[in-house]
Amino acid sequence: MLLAVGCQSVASAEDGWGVEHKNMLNARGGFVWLQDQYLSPLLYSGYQVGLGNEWWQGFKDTPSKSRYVRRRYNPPLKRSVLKMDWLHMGKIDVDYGWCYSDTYTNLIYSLGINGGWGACYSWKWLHPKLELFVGPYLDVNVMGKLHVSNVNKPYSMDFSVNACAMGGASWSFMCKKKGYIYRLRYLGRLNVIGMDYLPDYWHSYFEMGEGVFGDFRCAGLWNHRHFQQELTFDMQFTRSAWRIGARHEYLEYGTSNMMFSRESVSVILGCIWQYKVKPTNSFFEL
Amino acid sequence: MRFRSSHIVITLLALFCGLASSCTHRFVEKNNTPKDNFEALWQIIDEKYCLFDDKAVDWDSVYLDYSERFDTLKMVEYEDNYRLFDLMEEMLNELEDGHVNLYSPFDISVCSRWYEGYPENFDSEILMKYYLKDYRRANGLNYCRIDGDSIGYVYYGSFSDGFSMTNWLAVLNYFAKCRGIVLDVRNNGGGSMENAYKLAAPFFIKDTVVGYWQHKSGPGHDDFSEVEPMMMDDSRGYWRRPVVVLCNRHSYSAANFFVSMMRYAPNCLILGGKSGGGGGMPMSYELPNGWMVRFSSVKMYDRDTISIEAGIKPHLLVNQHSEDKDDLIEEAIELINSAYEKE
Repeated sequence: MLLAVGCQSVASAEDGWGVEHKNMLNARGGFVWLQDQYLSPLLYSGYQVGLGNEWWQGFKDTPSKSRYVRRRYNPPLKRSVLKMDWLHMGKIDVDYGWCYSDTYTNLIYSLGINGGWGACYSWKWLHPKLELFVGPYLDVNVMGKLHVSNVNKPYSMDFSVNACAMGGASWSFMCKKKGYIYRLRYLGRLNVIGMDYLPDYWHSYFEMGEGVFGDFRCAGLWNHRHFQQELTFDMQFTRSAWRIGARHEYLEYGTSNMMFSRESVSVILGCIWQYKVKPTNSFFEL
Repeated sequence: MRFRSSHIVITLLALFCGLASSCTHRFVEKNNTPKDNFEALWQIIDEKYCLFDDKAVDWDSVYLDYSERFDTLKMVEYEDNYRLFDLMEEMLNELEDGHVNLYSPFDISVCSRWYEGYPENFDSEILMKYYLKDYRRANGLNYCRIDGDSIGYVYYGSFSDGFSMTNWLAVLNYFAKCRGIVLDVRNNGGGSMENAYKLAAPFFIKDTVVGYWQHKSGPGHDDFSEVEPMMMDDSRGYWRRPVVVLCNRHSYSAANFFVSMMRYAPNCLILGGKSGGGGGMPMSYELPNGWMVRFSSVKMYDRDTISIEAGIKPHLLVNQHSEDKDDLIEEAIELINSAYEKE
């Protein structure tokens, strides 16, 4: 979380004052299927929980300055916030999982951090409430895995850095009675090219400690597929906004004698807020 | 075109679910019949086991011998799991390797052929009654002064029992006025290699190559990397007086490596019976039915690049015969005392 806040602060500092941030803090829980043939030839399945933070921000100031100065607050889902063409976003997720073999005789624990930064070009298409966005995304994925029964070979790790293609669509609509805004959003991304890490099939962790670390290699769609998609529904409630949704993630890579795959489906619950700091609000203003 | 919210919702839901379902078939699933488990077990050993050169076993003919027996095995009732286990154990024991075990929820296979026919050379009752009467414990190290406080005695029963260098130095400090140390690793079945290095470190004056190892680099029986040196690179030189290491056939795996390593320490003598071997560092892997197989996967050699799988011959072969004293400890005491008198 600290890292997320840190990333966000850096982004804020780079873009200067007066740019609006939309921030989403979420908790997730769901199911995970895992195969790591360095540790075991079997498919493991179990549960995963996680926390994450995601932020969206325009590259430049919003057009409705005067209103912010007047109200100093904008409902998080207000459509006007995302009127600019180019946005950038970042996210960081931490996931913890525990999976059992089919026979319930062995257990793998996993702890992963996934973060990244991307930019999106957004435009309205066919309808003023329908917004599409596409853009590049840089993804960093690290997950350590512990097989509790293995002798001298208990650990494995997924590691990859990938340039991804990201795309999505959102549909916003208003509850006329209360004036609240709701938004349904689909967001997906797929890796294109990058690099990943493969442990050496023949080596124990003890040998790794002695300097045999495995291989880093060029990764692309031909040998590494990492796909993540989210369907979320954001609901405004008075001055706050809440999110429910589902996330699906699929990762697959490996060599001829060793496959690594992971798939997870989880439910997302989160809250959204946005803020904008004006230079005139600075404590140092005289 | 007229848009309705429901169109959008259905489209996005269909997109999400469609893509989610299209990814799920990529996992590699294994079949789980007795024959599948036999095939998996045979292949794991065939590709990953590192000591075929040291064993007089033709693994291909093992396949032919056992294949039909697994064919006829049917899994009808729970009892059949025991039959499957016993047959797998029988097959694995062809390797006569103490590091090869099969782990199931109801049993662990054990190979005893590698120590059968060797003298025990260890009696814990005699040890407790006459030597470790009033001993101290520094984590896994049990120690006391014997022979009128003139000689230090340490019994270390398992390299899985942890201890720190602080523990070990405290023990050596307790022996500061002793003429020498008897370091007993009899019936020590092994454990952590790091503990083996730690236990040996005070006796080495300078960094020394204590052996070599070679790891598998492919599925063939001869697919190995180049040999790489194993270094004692934490040499402390704290103890320069005589050390006698006691071992027997049950000094196995990390204890066997420790005995091999101590041959290169100055002022050290190995006494007792031939150590147990276990010169292949083990790893484990799973079978389709969830059972685990442990096997030797990294080959270890001594400083002359001779495999230590068969065990280490002691400098002085001494067997236990008495019923009221430990002949090995008594011999070690005599050796240390005579070395002291010579000085």
